[in-house]
Amino acid sequence: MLKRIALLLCAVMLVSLVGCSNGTNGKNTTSNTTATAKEDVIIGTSSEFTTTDPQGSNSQAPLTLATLTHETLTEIDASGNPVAGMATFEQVDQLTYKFTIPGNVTFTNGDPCTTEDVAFTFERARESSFTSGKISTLDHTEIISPTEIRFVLSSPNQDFLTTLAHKSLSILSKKACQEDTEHGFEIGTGRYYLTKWVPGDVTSVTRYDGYRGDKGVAKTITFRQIAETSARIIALQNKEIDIALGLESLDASKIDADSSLELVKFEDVWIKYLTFNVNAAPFDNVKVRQAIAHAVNKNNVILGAANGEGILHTSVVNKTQFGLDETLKDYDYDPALAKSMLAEAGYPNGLEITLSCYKGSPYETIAAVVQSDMAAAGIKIKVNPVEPAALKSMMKEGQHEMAIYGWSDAIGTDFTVRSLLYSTSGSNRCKIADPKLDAMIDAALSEVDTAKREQMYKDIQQYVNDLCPYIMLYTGYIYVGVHKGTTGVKWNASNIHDFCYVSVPSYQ
Amino acid sequence: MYRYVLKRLLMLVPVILGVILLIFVVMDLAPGDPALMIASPDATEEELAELRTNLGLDKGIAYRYVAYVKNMLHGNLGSSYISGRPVMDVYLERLPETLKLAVGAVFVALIISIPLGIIAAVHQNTFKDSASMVVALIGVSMPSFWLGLLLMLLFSLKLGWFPSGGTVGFKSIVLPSITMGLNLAAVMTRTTRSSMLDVLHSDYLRTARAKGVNEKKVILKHAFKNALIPIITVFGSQFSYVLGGAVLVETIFSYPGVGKMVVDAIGNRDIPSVTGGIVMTTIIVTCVNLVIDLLYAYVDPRIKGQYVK
Repeated sequence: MLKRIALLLCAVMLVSLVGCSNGTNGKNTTSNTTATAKEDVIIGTSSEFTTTDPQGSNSQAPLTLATLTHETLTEIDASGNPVAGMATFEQVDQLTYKFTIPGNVTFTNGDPCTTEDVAFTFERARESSFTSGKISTLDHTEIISPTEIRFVLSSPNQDFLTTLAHKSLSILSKKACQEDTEHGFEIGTGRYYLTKWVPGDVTSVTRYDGYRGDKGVAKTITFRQIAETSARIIALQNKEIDIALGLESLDASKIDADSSLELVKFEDVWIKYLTFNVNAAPFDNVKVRQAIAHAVNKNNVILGAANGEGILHTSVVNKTQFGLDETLKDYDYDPALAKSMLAEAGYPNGLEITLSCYKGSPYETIAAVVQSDMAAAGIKIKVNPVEPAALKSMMKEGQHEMAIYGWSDAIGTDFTVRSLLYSTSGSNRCKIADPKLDAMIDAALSEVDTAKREQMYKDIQQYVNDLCPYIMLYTGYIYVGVHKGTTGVKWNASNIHDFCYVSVPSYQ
Repeated sequence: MYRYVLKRLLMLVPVILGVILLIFVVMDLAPGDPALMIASPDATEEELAELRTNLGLDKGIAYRYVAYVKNMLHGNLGSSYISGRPVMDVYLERLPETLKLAVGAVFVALIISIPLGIIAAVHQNTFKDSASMVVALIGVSMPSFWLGLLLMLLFSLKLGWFPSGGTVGFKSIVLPSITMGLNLAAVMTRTTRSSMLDVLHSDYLRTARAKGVNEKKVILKHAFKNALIPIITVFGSQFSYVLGGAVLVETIFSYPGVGKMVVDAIGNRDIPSVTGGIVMTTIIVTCVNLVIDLLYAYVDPRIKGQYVK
């Protein structure tokens, strides 16, 4: 008996020693008041840092890293206009831009940044599938001096300066890249430098104290990959991380319920859409596509897939982009009209369609809502959830009938319309090949007069709306959980946030 | 005994070759082009074709298989299509974490299942037996992701005893180990119980009791030792399962193990990572099974005699 009591007491002691920790770990405190900011900021994210090469991806995580470690020649201001970034610029003529780099720009390894590095960056960019399309109109660069360089285009491109602000076109060190082909591209001119990269686990950067301008606030910033959203919120509440990215609308209440946390919420530019394969019958018939568009209840989709928190979207052009036509008339949800249009098009008994989408939220939810709403119009939908690799292949080879996908880049209107609609574009999911549309897109890119250009993009949107190769559904919101008092983050609607000046108050 | 060990290690060769062939065939048949997963969506057909050539994807499966095996013999498992890092480096980075999780989970399973199984067997058909089996049933029925989140909410958020995830020190292994261990304990409890029941009514135990050996010694020294063989077998299979299959637990607890690495690689059609990960896991599991077989010899001298023959 005594032995058992002794054993029990030992077990209790052991658990107490192992389990009870000091500090406020796990306790929900109500106050974070302190005069000092944390030196080490930890950000929880579900996105994977698949590469540290800015030219190696268009995904948000690698580009967020590039925002910290690299700089681009131009940047985009709050109004969406290109402004000076690392360099100042001057448009010499329709085909020529001159960039001037300040003499004190250095890479984080101490090497000076010169126009040779700029020229090298763009030559290298031609070899990457992630960047070559963005600079397709760049004919060549001319180095005038170590601080001045000219970019000469093959044809006018009114979006060129906007495109240069894309983080995938960050300036790289020629010397570092040539000396170390596997890691040299990690060296940039940014406020931070990469110190640790463990794919699927953590990625850390440290402040570069030799930066020429305003230095970063935090000494180190670590991105911790936490795939599960609930786990990310728990880690935030537990103060294991300071910022939790990639939350959903359903998580907002958990953040609001914790007085030490704050919910950051703003509109995103991720358009969810339905795409037809316009080369496959019966979707090669514009009447059929328009009829199906009348069978989609976008409000229901927002209610089901976004918990009611979404913004209806009609145009292929994204919000905040130049030339968006906000007066574009949408296809109203009208199942009776859809039925009669289908009958006119030769399908009086309705249609059976396979709708392919990624597995998981929100795509499968969107598919379920669409399936339910279309049934009222006599359209029977078979949902086909597949892995990303399979869906990409399917759409690339034009094996889909209809699919649900998304578009989130908002760097320039030409990039968006060209990617989604140009006949040779790899992102042309609807497989449309319309020479007239291609010509309209090319003409708009080179139009110098801003008002005319705006009208040209509106004409494109109207033309595409009539053709209906896509049914744009909605954009939503980005939800981020932060600790109260967190400041300095430049939130970005494409989820490529700028954490250079992030400041998190120290915890008590 | 050494010949037995050598023979077992040599048998690994055809197993590995077969595993690699199977992976190549399955990945080849699976829908999805790896080039599309690596390249930008805006990549032209020429760029995709060039990428396929660079990765060797334009060659036939037989050519790629032979090339892979040749490289593997030099310790080169290829580079990840996605990150570009050598697969061996990525795997070896993650292996210690998975091994820690496996050891932790099996330890939790053992400290729960063995006492519970012995109690259930010794008190067969009583309340203690039923209670032990109910506990085992609950353990095997609870989904690991649900259990993991519950443990996280209680022990991490409410009580603050353990971190919610990551790999910061010993404390970060506790909750994932308990999550996995409870699932494993259920299977091992039942095995322990039935194995003990087989030996509890043996004549030699009756003899031991007749000679005046106390009951505790009869159970733990005589009965349990003879019941160990099936328990060790299940232990080995559960350990192997954890080594390769802890994806859900790794995801919930943001644990950078090899299970999640392989599953993510499958989704990305990252063939070198899939192949390398599975090959390495196969080698480790085979070695674990060999150790289990050698443990039999240690526990049961009769088996040792068979190995020596």
